[in-house]
Amino acid sequence: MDLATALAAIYPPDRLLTRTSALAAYESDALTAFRTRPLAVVLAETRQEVIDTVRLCHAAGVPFVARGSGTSLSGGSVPLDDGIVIALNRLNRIVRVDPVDRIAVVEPGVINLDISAAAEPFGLYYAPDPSSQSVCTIGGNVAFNSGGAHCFRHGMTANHVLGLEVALPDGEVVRLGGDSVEGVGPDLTGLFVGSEGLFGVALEVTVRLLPRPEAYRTVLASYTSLQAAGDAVTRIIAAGLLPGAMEIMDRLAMDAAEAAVHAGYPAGAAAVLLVELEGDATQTDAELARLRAVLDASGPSHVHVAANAEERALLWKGRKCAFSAVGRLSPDFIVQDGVVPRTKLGDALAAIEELSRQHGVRVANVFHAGDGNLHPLILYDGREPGALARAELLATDILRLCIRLGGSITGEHGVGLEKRAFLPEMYRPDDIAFMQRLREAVDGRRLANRGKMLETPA
Amino acid sequence: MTIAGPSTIESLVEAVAQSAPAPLAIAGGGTSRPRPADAAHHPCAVLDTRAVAGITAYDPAECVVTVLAGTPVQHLADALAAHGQYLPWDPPIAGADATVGGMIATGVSGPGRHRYGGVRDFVIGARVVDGRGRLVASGGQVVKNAAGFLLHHALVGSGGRLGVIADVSLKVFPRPEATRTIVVRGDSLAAALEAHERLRLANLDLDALDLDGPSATVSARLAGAADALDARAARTIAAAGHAVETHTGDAEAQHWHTHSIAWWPREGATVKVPVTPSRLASILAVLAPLGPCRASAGGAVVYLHSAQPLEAVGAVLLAHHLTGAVVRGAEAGRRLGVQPSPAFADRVRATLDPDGRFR
Repeated sequence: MDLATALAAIYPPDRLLTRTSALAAYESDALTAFRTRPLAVVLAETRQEVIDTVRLCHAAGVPFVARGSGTSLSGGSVPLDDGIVIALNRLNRIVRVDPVDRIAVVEPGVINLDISAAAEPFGLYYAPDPSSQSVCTIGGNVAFNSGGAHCFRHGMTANHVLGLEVALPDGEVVRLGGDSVEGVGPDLTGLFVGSEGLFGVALEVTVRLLPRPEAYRTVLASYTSLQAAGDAVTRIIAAGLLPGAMEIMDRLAMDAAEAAVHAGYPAGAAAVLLVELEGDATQTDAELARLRAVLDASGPSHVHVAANAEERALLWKGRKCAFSAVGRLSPDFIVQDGVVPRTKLGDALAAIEELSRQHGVRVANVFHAGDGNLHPLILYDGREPGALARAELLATDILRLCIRLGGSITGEHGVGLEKRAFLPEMYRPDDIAFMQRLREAVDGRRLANRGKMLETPA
Repeated sequence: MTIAGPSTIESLVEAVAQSAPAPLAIAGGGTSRPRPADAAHHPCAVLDTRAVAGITAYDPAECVVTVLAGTPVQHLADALAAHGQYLPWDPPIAGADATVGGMIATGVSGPGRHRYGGVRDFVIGARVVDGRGRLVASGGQVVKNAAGFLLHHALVGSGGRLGVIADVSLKVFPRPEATRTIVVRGDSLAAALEAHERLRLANLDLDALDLDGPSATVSARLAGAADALDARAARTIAAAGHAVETHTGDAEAQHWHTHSIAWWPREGATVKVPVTPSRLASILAVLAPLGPCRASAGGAVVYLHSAQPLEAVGAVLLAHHLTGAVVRGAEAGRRLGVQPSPAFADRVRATLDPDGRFR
C-alpha cells in the first residue's frame, strides 16, 4: 500500500489535502523567501492520527514536518517537495489547567496566548511571550525554544516546559519530564525543546504557570542616541535591579509603531527604552524609586512612568506591533534575531548603523535589550532588482557581527532553513559533528523536519 | 588506578581519550557520591576533575560566568558575592568540597529555587568530554540562545553518565538587597502543611518556601528592597496565620544553614523526589516512615534521608507512582520508583558514550 492510500485510510478527504490550491497555504511560513509545495498536508485532530502518520512516513521513508500556525521566522516549518505536512492546529485542546499545582497540560496546536487566557481566572499566566503569541502555537514554541520580552528574568520556553509526550521520528511515543518543576535524571525535556522538530513531534505539553504579578511599573525613557539607551540598560543591571522586561526601539521602529497604534512614544527621540518592573506592589514601588534614580542619571531626554493599566497596555501594544508596523514603511523586510552580550549592545548598534550605511539599506531596530537579543528589521523592496540580495548581504554581516562579539545567530527564532549555513560559524566542527550524530541516533532516516538546523551531509 | 589529575580542558580531553574504552569513574569533590576510598584498587580508572578549576570568564555587568567544572561551588559563590551577585538557586550541598561539575551533574537546587528557578534554568552553555574523548560544546555565554541542540540542559541531573563536564556558563543574578525569614512552627505536620499552603498560594513573591517534616517547621524567605520588607513581612505573617518567629541577619543565615539537607548524615541515602504541591501531604505521609523528609520550592520536591535499603525506598515510590533518584550516598545517581521511558534517553546516551564508560 503506498503512502497516499495509507493516509486516505486515516484521514477523511477534507483533512487530507493534495490539490495544488489547497496546498498553497502550506508552502511557506512567516519567512516568505522560502517556498516549497509539499506532496500532501494532513490536518490531524487526534494524537493517534499524528502517531500513525509519523509511523507511516517512517515506514515509507517520506520526510515530514509538523506545523502549527506557520509563524516561524527562520523557515522552520517550510515543507519539502517530497514530504508531507502534519498540521496540528486542530490538536488544540487544553487538557487541564491545574490552579493548585500551577500547571497546564495542552495539546501542541494550542495558541500561546490561549494558555494565559485559560489560566487568567485563577490569577495565573504562561510567561513566554513571543511577539506572535496571539497566533503561534505551543508546539512551535517548544520546537524552537521561543522567547519573548521576559527572558533575562524568566527564561525561555525550555524553562517553562515541565513535561512532554512526544512521538519520536520512528513513531515511538515517550514521556519526558513530568508535572513538577523539579526533575531527576538528565533534563531531556530541556534537550527536546529547541530541537526544531528534528527529534520528533510533541503531542502533549505540560507547562508551568506563574502567579500574575501583583503590580507592574512600566517606565518609558527616551534618548538622543541608541548607544545611550543601550548604556542605560547596563546601568540598570549594575544597580542590582531585575526588571521583567527591557525593550529598546529606534526612531524608525517608533515611527512605524506610532503610525499604527498611537502608543504615545515621544517625537524627536532617537531611541526609547521601555522598562517594566513586576512583583509585589511594595517591592516594585521601592524598585521604581531606584530605577528612576538610575534613569535620571543616564542622560535621558524624557522619562515617563505609565500612570495606569491602559497606558501600560498601550506602550506594550506599540512594541508588540512594531514588526508588522514596519511593514508600512517598506514592502518587504528581513527580521534578524542575533544576540550579543548585553554589555556589547552599544557596540553592536553602532556597527549595525555603519553596516546599514555601507550597504545603503535601511534598518529599523527593535530589541529585547535585557537579554541582548537584537531584532534589526532590514528593509527592502523586492520589486527592485538586486534589493533582496543587498538586504541578505547585510543580514549576513550582522550575523557574523553577533558571532564575533561572542553572541548567537539566533535568540528565539531558531536556525531553521535561514541560518543553517551559519551554525558551523558559531560552533566548532566537533560540535556540529556531535549534533549530526545525535540527530542520526534519534532519526536514522532523517525524516523529521529534514533540512532544518543541520545541513544534510553529502 | 587513578589517572593523573588533568588541570586543563585539553589534558582532561586527553585523559578521557587515552583511557578509552575502559570504564571511568568521575570523581569531583565527593560530596554527592563519595570519592573512591582506595583509588589504586578501584575496579575502574578514577578521573579526578578537581584540578580543572577556575573562573575563566566573568563580567558582572553581563550577569554571566563561565567556570571550569572542578571549581569549588563555594569559590564561585564567593567570587560572585564580591560583585553583589549570587547563584539564585542556592546550591545546598555547597560545602567546602562540592564542585561546579558535581552541582550540575547532581541537579539539586536549594530553597532559593522557589522564586527564579533551579539550576536547570540558569545553565546557558557547557562543554563536555564524551566517551571517545571528544569535546562537545552547546549553548554559549549569552542568556538567550536558540542555536543548536541544547545539550547543556541534559547535563543537569545527568549524574556524569553523559560525559565529563569540562566547563559551564551560568546566568547569575544581582543579590537581593535584604532578606527576612518568617518561621512557623506547627503543632503538627498537618498544621505546618496548612500554613505552607496558605503561604504558597498568597502571591507573596516568596524567595523560598520550605517545610521540614520532623520539626513541622515552615520557613518562608522574603528578598528584595530593604525598605519594602516590613510591609511584606507583615503580609506574610498574616498569611501564615500562626505564631511565627522572624529571623534576620546572622540568625536567619543560621536558620537556613541548620535546616539544609547538606547536614543530613553521610550514611544512608538522600533521595530527591519531584512532587506536586497538591500531593504533598499524602506523599509526606507515605515517605515519613522511611526517614526524615524536607519539602522545598513550595512543595515541588521532597528530599528524603533514608537508612532503609534502597529497594524498600524504591518500592514505596513505585507503589505511589513516584519517581526519585539518590542524590547523595554510595549509590548517588541511582533511579528509584517509576522508571523513565528509555527510548530517547538511550539514544542520547549512546551518542555521547557509545562504549558505556560512564556508569
